[in-house]
Amino acid sequence: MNIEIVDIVNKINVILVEEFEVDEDVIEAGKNLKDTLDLDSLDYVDLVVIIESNFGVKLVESDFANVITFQDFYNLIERKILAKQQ
Amino acid sequence: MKHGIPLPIIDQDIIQQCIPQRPPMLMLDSLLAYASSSITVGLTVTSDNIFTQNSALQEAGVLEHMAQAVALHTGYGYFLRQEEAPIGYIGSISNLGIFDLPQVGQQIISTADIIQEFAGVTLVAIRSEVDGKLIAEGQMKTVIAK
Repeated sequence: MNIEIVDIVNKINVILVEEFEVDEDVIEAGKNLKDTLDLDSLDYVDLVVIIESNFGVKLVESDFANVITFQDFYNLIERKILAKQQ
Repeated sequence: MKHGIPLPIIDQDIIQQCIPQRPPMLMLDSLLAYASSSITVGLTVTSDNIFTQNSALQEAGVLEHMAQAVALHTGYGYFLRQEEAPIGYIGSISNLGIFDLPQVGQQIISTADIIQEFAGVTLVAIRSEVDGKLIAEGQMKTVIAK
């Protein structure tokens, strides 16, 4: 099953709005993920859990090394999904 | 049985080597089962327990017992590896429900299952039972001090 990037983005955004109780309007691809969602170190484990349960991919700390914006995060999840499908 | 120590462990000296709490704050008295992603511990409620009132372990005692179950999982892992356990903290408690209070003489048995570990933060689900009946459950995030 192939999943389009737009589907990944939409699904991630829905999850983030629900899980982190932010307004959908604040999520923009170029914005800073951590600052926008007000993530602290404890929140990341929740993020990892919900991504794993929704997309079946496992994230580790090093995956976030280059994740600054929402777009970086979308790209990360897409790469993980594609790697899993191969 | 691991490293020559059969389970269950009721030797308080071994338990106290694994967690920092000491009487009267020690809220578990047995390690019943252990795996890399879970632990089951027990506590028989006594009348002289610091959290016992009206012949029942109060909510604070149940919660402390649940937290110490998580601490023992970390501490016993280090104990098995013959390493010094680091200091850990409870970062958050969520979805907590305490439905009943164990009475003096009853044994509360709690199982902690690791849901996720990420960047030094561990998310754990804990269920506590008395005579097979669920009396409390919740999730905790623990943080290892760096």
